[in-house]
Amino acid sequence: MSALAMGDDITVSSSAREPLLAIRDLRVEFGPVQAVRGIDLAVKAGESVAILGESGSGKSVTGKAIMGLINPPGVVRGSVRFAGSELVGRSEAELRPVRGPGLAMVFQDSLDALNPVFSVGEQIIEILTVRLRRQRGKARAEAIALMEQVGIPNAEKRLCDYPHQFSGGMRQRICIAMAIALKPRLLIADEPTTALDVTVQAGILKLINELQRETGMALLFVTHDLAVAREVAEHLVVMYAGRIVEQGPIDELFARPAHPYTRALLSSNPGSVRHWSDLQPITGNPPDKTTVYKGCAFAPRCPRAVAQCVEVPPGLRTIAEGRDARCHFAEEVLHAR
Amino acid sequence: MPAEERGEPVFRVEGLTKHFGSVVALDDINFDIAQGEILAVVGESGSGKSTLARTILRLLDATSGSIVYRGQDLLKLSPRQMRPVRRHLQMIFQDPYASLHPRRTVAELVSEPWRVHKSVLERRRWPEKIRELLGQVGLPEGYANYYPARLSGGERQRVAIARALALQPDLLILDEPVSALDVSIQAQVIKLLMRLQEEIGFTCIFISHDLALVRLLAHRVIVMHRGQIVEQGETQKIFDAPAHDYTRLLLDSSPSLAGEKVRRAG
Repeated sequence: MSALAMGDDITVSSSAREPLLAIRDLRVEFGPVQAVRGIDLAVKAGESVAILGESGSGKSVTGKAIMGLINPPGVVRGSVRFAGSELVGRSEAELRPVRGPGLAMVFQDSLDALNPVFSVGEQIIEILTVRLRRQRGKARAEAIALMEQVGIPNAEKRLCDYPHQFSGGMRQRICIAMAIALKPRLLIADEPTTALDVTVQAGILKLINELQRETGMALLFVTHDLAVAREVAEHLVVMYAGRIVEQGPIDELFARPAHPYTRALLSSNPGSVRHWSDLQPITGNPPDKTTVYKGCAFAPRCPRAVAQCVEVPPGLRTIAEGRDARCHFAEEVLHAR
Repeated sequence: MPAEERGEPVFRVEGLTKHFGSVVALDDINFDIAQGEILAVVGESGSGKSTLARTILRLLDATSGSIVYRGQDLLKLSPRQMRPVRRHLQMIFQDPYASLHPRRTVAELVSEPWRVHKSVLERRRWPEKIRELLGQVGLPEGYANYYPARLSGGERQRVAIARALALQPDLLILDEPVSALDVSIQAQVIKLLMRLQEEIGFTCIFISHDLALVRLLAHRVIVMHRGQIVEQGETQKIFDAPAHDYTRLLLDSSPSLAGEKVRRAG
């Protein structure tokens, strides 16, 4: 399919049955480092999905791979279909029509994401004049409207300010304004609130939720924070050592986890107990990205692990309506108290 | 606050003020800590909580006020007089990647305090004491010869804890001790710190932005906002019935695993 046809594709609504984003066996390698080791994931139009994992789980690399942001020597294999078209293997030029109106991304560090030598207005206006061929005057008005939409006070006055003149929270709002400028159908947010204070974080999470409601865009929210995931997403995907270990509706996963890792994350979280002595830490260290696991990658840290776990790799299985888990004993974990 | 019930304070801070040029980083700070107490200092970035820790240890010079530690005002001591006092006041920093010298082995890092405070431990007893400290923080003896590069974040923080304990401090200041660690590692390090606190009984200032964590371990809480203490008291009381609007805002903004979601609030 040509790039132009893809551009048409994303403005025409695809079949309601087909997920907006369909990932099959995605693998990302950087030399000996296996960052993503084969994941399958679907995001429906308008849906909000959180990818939860600790550092090295492959959660951020997954987001970047979807956007086509993995550069050599990184190698991406497998399939990422967006609105029915394959993205893996596309050139920059072929990805261009998809980025913006199809997929947009917000990163953790808003200071790195903005150009320090142009005013924020200039950077928003550029998107509108280049991509939508707006006249400058009209683009300026739209830029102000976008800044207002993401909750920046005195938007018109602040149009000429530079990134360093804004607080971290306000800068992240500007990044969000730029991301939604072309009305994307899927917003990928990679730890967008991790560097922010809790009161500011609450505002950004609320904004993302509101924008999603208003525009109907889908959301893929990458985070290491269980409680933040719960704020923004309906569906949770838990990653460990480059693979999905569990996924399903977030409230159900929190109430009844089916993978020992999800269960352990919950019982080691300060929010889940009354006293520190009740915390149940996860033993051992996070997985090494160069290690090739014969069996289950979590087995070395898993309280339930038996010989089978070290020898036989568990597959991701459906264990209940809408619930998948990658554990030989998922049913037992699910029903355990 | 009924200080009598908590025993004689180990530490009493009165009217502590710190200016950076025209910026008031600490504005008339008053509190005390009783023996063995865990006092949490919460607040957002820029609230002054780390400046408070550094001023107490005299890593920064206070503008005015007094810091009375077991009867003597630290701010009146000369640098020379301050030196022997430092062994009793230790700090653990947020980032164990920055706080450990990359070209020192674990044994050298843990024994460094004894090089500075020479009277604490005879040299011939160092190896034995290093083994004991590593054991206390749950690291294998073999780690003594490792460089930090071989250690994970959680292991590095254990080394930093061992180093701080090497001088058997009276007061330990923990500045966000787990927020740079992986989520799966945080509970390990917290439990280690709290178990050691129970065993050894050191008094503790715990600086954190993580209210869920503070609720689990602090006896008392100070809430800081723009260089001022806006509220202080027993942990339970502050969490159950915050008196100040800012405390309420902090609590309402903190995402939680149960109960109402923030997005539905406000």
